[in-house]
Parts: sequence; C-alpha cells; structure tokens
Amino acid sequence: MRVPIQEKVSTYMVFYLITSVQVGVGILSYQSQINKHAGHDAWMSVLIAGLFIHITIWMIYVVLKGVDGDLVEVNKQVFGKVIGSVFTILYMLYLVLGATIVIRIYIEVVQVWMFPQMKVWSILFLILPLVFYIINGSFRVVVGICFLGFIVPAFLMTSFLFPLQYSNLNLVLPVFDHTFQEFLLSANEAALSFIGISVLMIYYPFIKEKEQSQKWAHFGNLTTTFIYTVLAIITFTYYNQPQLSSLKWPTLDMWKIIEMPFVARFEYAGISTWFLVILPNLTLFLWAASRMMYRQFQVSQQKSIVLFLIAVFIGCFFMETREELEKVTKVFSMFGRGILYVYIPFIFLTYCLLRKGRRK
Amino acid sequence: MKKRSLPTRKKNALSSFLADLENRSDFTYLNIKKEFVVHIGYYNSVTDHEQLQSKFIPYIKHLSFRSVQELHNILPAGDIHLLHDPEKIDDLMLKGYVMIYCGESPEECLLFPLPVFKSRQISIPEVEFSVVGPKEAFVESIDTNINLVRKRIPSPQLKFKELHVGDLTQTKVCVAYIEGVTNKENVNTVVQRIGDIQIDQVIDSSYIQQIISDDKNSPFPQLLDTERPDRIAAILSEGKVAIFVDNSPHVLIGPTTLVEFFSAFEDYFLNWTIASIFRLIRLFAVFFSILSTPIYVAVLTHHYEMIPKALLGTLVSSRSQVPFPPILEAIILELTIELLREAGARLPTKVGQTIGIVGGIVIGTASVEAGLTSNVLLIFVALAALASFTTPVYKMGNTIRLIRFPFLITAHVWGLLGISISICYIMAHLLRLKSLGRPFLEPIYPFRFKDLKDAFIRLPFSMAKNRPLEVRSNKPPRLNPGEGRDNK
Repeated sequence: MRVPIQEKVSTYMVFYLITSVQVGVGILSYQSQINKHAGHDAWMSVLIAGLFIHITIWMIYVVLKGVDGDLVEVNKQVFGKVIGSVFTILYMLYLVLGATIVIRIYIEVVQVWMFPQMKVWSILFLILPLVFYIINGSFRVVVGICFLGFIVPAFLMTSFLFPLQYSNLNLVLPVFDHTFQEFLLSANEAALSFIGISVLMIYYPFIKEKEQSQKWAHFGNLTTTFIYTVLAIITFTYYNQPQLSSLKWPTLDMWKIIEMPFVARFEYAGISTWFLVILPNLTLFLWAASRMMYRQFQVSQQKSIVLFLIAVFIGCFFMETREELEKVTKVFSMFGRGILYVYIPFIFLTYCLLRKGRRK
Repeated sequence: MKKRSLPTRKKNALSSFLADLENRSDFTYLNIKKEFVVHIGYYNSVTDHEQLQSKFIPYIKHLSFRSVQELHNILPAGDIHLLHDPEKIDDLMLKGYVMIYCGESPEECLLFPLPVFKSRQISIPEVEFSVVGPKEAFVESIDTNINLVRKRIPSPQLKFKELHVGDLTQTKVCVAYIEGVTNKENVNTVVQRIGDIQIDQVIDSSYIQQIISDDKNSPFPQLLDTERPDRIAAILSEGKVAIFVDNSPHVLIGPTTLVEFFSAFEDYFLNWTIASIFRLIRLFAVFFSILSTPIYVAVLTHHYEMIPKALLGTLVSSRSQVPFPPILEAIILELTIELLREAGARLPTKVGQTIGIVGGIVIGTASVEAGLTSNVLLIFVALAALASFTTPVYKMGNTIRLIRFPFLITAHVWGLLGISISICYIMAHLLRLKSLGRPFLEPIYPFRFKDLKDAFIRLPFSMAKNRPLEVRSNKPPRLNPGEGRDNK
C-alpha cells in the first residue's frame, strides 16, 4: 500500500493531528468528572493519564514502524485475515460512534447554553455537508482543518486567565491528600479526554517522514497534557469541590464571568468558536473510518463518507434525550478504554512476540 | 526555373483572389509605376499610411526591377515574404503587410510589413495607484507591455513563450518567466492549460484567468492580475510566471497565495515597519468587513445578553424607532451600499462623485432620521464598505464584499454559531483551493515559516535573501554567492 507523495503531509503536522483530536468536547466538562475520586488533587491524575498516553503512543509507534502500514495491516498480521477484519470493522464503528457522540454533545451544549429550542437536524444540515466537503477534498484538507482548528481558536486559551483573579490557591491544598488508588481512578476518568490518539494508526502512512514523526506525537500529547493540567488547576482554584461536582460544564461556567467593554456573556462567543475545535474531531474520525472502509473493502471514500454521514445523522436521533446520550457515551468510553488498556497493549505484545519468533 | 512551372490552377486562384480584393471596402489598390505595371495593395485600417505614402512608395519608384523576385532581393529589410497562397497572403495583409505584385496576372506576391498600431499612451496606474514608486501602467498593446517589463529586467534569461488562443481572435498570449529561476513545472502547467483552451474569442486576460483557474466555481480569484510593470518585474524575479495577453492592460500572475492579494505593491516602497503595519491594518479590514454586520445581526437577533450594560443604552436609543428586524435592516443597508458602488462604477467620474454625496450623506442621514435604520448599524455598514475598499486587488475586493451576504443569512438563522460555521466553510474552501496546482493558503497551510517574511508583515529586504518556497524556485537564493559584492 503506497500513498502518493502529493497526498502526504509534513511530519510536524502530527503535532496538530494529535492535539486537535485530543481537545474536543471533553475539555468543556472533564473537571467535574476527574474530581470524583481524587478531589482537589485530580489535576495530578491528569498528569498520570498524560504519561500513560505517552506510553501508548510509544507502543503504537513500535508496532507501526515494524509493520510499516496502518491499522488494517496490523490487524491482518496480528489476528489473521478473518479476526483481523472483525477488529477493523469494530474500530470503524468506534470511530463513527465517536463522531456521532462528539457532534451530539456539542449540539447539546448549544441547546443548553444558546438555543434551547433548536432542533438537532437543523444544525446537522449545516454541519454535515461541511464535513463531506472537507473529507472529499483530500487528507491534506482534513489536516489543514486540524491545523487551523488548533491555531485559530488558540486565542480562547487567554480567556482561561480571567478566572485567575477570583482564584484561591488554598482550594488545591494540601497536595497528595488522596490515596494512590484514588489517583489512578481519577486518572482513569481523565484518560477519556485523551483517547482520540489511536486514529494515529490510520493516518500513519500519510506522513512524509513517518519514523521521525514520533517526537511530534509526544510533543503534541505533552501540549494537551499541559493544557488539561493547567485548566484543571485553574478550575480547582476557582470552584470549591462540592460546587464543582454539581456542574456539568465547568469550563463554560467560568467563561460566564468574563466581561470586556464590548462584550458580556463571553460563553456565547466561546461556544460558537468552539465549533472550530469540534470540527477536526469530526472530520478526522470520519475520514479515518472511510479510509478503513477503503482499505478493508475497497469501497471508495466518497461513497463511504456519505454512508457514514447518514449514519451520524440517524445516530443523533437515537440520542434524543440527555439520558440516552449519557448511556451511549458510557458505552463509547468503555469502548475507548478497551482500546487504550487492552487492544493496543495486546497488539503491542503480540507484535513483539511475533517479531521475536521471526528472528529465531 | 522552378517557380515558373506553377500549375495554372493556383495561378487562377490567386488572380480571382486579387480581383475579389477590390470589392472589400477598406482595401486600397495603387498602381505606382507608369512604364511598367506594379500594383500595391493593402488594408488601410491596419497599415501605416504615412510611412507608405511618404517613404515606401517614393523609394520603390526609384528602384529598378522587373519582377517581384528581383525586388525581393533588392529590398533592404527582413521579414519580407514571397507567397502565392491566397489564404496566407490575406492573413499577412490583415496583420498590416503591404502586398506588391507586377503584371495583371502574377504568380507570386511580395509582402512587406508596414503595420500600424493604434494604442493608448502609457499612463499612470489607476486601479493600483501608489503615491510613491513608478507611475507606469500597462496598455493594451502586448509589445509595449513586454517592452515595459524587458527594460526592467534586461536579462537574456527572461523568456517569453508565445501562444495563440481563440479560433476567431487568434489572440497572442505570452507566458513570461526567468529561465533558471522559475520552476519549469509551473511554466509547463501554464503553457499546457493555455494550450488546452477551447474558445473562439479572447477579449481580455480575465478570459484566460477564468478558464485556466484551478477551481472555476470559486468566488476567489486564483491568479493575481496587475497593471503595474514593476510588480510583474518583481514577481518574475521571485520565480513566478506572468501571462501577457494582447489587447489587455492586465497581466496575470501565478502561482499566487491568498495573502498576496492583500499586499499592495506600495508596501515594497515604504520602510518595512510602516509597510508591515499597513498590511496588518488591511488584513484587519478584511475581517472587519466580512464579520461586522453579521455579528451585529447575530447579537441583536439572538444574543442580546452579550451587549454590556454601558453599550446597551446607546443601542436601545438608536434602535427603538426602527420597525425592522436586524437582518432586514442590515440587508437593506448593505444593498444600498452595493447599489451606490455599482452606480458609481458605471458612471463617469464627475457624476460618480455626486452619487457618492447623494448616497453617503443624503440617503444615510435621511434613512436614520426617518427611523428606517439605526445609526449604529449605519456606522458598521459604512465602515465595512470602507474596509472592503482597502483590498488592493479589485477582484478580491469584490469577493470580500459578496461573501458577506451568506454570513448575514447564517447569522440571522443560527446566530454566532452560524457565523463560525460559515467561517469553517470558507476555511475548508480555501484549504481546497489551488493556484496552478500550488496550495492557495500557503504560508499558513502548509505552514512555511520562511515564507512568513513576506506575508502578513514584510520584513526588510536584507531578510529576504531567498525566493519564496511557495514557487519551488530552481534557484532559491536571490543572489549568487559573491555576486552582490562585485558592485561595491
């Protein structure tokens, strides 16, 4: 499987591919999820989770460098043709489900914060053609959206500095006030914010200097870990723990206090701009799914995107209410954890054993 | 001799062609020698009369010759043809050649070039005016235009590839590039695309621009057009390709990038700090011009909570009398501005000024006083229109003004979210666009740090030692090592 050079993207773009897929809807709400176990110390759990992701990235690179192909190839070599294709299809479903959940959660945020009366389909009609337009371009366009989706909304980072004027450092003290087990349990929650990285296994052949891209992947993960940690500390010093636990979207609540001479209620601008952060998630997930479809069944990407977009559209209707959405999200996070804790380590170990066997 | 043994059929064809010429209204026949029949024929619309009457005919009269073959050997000039094919003869005469033949039924005719070019004088650039810097602009004649560039780059490496486009017009198109600097791939793309053109007429370079663009449906121009020879000289030495089209005062440049459309050429004549700030102001103007009215509509329709208390009073007092929703108010005002612009563009300058006064002052003030629009929006719309005129390239200015309307509609329906999704649409479109196969959004994406030296800001010339990466020049350093020092 060769990817033509004009389809390939620069090596350092892996940085943006990693960060843009990790930062998504999760960052709006993760603070009140991770503090369940480790409380005000949970920001350290973010660091633990980030470290764990570094190890995962390393494992992925070991496998990909050895196989020199994408996930479909890896599945074939590790599991054989039949079982391998089952895993490929499962992963494909995971990606489409991921895209559906991301878009549905974003629409929920919009419904709760901006337009309570807005119908889901009305906004899907605006977003889905855009996703098609982007993916139909080429992988370069998808990466371009990831790049701009990181650069353009970067100014929002400064908005997280506003709550600092009301923050109280005593709220995160004393440090190490929880057991190691609690730290790990919170890290388990925090890991959910990072799980997009496994898409790396699909776009890997599209990178110009594949082997050199590993440092960019790690650097990207480092950046996200930094953002998540800093934002967690800001949140924990701004809210006290009981108050934080009662909030669904602490990041958005913090935006509410921002006031500038020309704009009040900053969250409206913030949520709108956040679409630029969501879009890379959507496009990259769906691109990856259609790419796998092409690799596994030789279905043209154009056709499979249409199929997946219809699936996303219908999927959003199955998650009409908050409860349904939460249920599906739970399934999705289990899926994600399975990939992170079982699937990737398993592939890694099997691959190492296979390689050892081959050497002998 | 060989030439004498022509078939009589051809001879007849030529004779009947010559007889037919007399019926053409702008064709003139002269018989100049008394002792011996010498005919001179020419189209008076394309031939230089004065030269013919005062110099050419007296000169011919003093020569002694018996046949056109003899004359062919005597005449001290190149580019003289002896032809017997009526079609070829007619072709050349239409380009301003004078036909000479001896006797009543000749076998061959001699064609001597005496063309006349009626063209405008070189004047100052009107579309891309600059206060400082050269004040020459291209004219309609391609030879004059090439001359204007040649004198700026007196180098044998400057090459022109000539093509003819248009079944009917046979318009001369010249692709200019500097050999050894310009990437051959770019030249080949241009030449191939122009060669593939299937059209009967090419009236202006914008025909070529539209046909060879990478995405013909895009509202964004993908080739830059300029009327400044100095700009062409500059981009040629950067390693880009220029396309000259006969009868067009605008020369096309490719490959280009989006950012290039917002850099006025005057930037290079000013100190780099000043020029950079002007460029940033211009870029800000673009965003302001696209987004200000849609944001007004979005905020006043959906997100009035976003207005701070201090500002609320001003807005309420200005809008309390207005009976329309913000979107209607905005569209009416935007259309008024567009109408004024369109009216001003089609009218003579002096009437145009009057239109500006009537539109800007009378309609504006009256509509606010009548309570049809709020004066806050009027300020926004007027500023946005003003900002859109800062775009140095006219065609890009049009694009900027028109993409505001879809933004207005999405802003009305989906509020700020609609605006940000529209921005994503534009972004995706720009990411997909290419100019001669090169990415249009360069140096933003693909991100090339080195090309940022001449994008949003313009760094001093000493920093620009290399040609932009975007053109994939064959010779990236602008100077040969040591070459700059020789001139000291």
